[in-house]
Amino acid sequence: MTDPLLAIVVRLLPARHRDWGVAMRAETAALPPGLKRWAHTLGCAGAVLAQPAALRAVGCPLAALAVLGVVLRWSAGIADAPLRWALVGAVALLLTVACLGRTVSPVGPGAVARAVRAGVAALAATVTGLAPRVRAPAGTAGPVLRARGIGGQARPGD
Amino acid sequence: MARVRQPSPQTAAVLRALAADPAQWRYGYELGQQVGLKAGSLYPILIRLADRGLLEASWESDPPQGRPPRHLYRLTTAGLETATALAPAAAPAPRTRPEPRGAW
Repeated sequence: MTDPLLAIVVRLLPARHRDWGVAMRAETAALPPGLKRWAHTLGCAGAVLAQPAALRAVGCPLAALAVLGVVLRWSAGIADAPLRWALVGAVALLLTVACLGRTVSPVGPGAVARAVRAGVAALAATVTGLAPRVRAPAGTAGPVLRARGIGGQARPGD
Repeated sequence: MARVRQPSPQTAAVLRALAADPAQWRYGYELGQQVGLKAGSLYPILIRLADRGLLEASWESDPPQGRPPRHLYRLTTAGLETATALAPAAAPAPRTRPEPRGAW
């Protein structure tokens, strides 16, 4: 039971530290079954889970699910169903890109690449968040938000 | 100016234990028992030392049947120099409190 548990946890180790996961499992297997083995297994699991790469691997999907939950709740107030699900889909897509971007994106893991990805994601999120405000309600021809002139002067027709 | 970081008491204990017989390869579990560190504290230290080139690791060459080979550890030359440069141990035994997260 301890080895399958540890086998799952050590998969969170970054590639350059994978052999340490094998070492932890081998060291655990050398211990007699019982409390000592369990204590060692839990210690190894804690050591793996405490490292930044593992925290990212576990924390990113959890944070993405939490954000998606908030968006689902927030978007419940949008009466237009297609718009609501388009927004939820866009946010889900952004979260997927945010979680998988480091591993599958063509850009590297450097600080600049991260900043570019974060900037694009923030821009897309802002545009997505503003979308309901500019969408014309059913039955009207013009935009919901009325344009105002410079200095707050109302245009003719306001 | 390069900043010289003093190793934590736990790391210093591991370095000293390995430096006591630098030629000998050591198992992780026994090393942890000797210095009073549990796996959750010991492995991050070992990994960090290896990443810094202070520790070398190898695999057991002839493990018992049905058991995977274990990792063995000993100090590199740089590790031995670091251990030698350490001040003598002030406390008799290190605490088992883990080091700050994200340090490796």
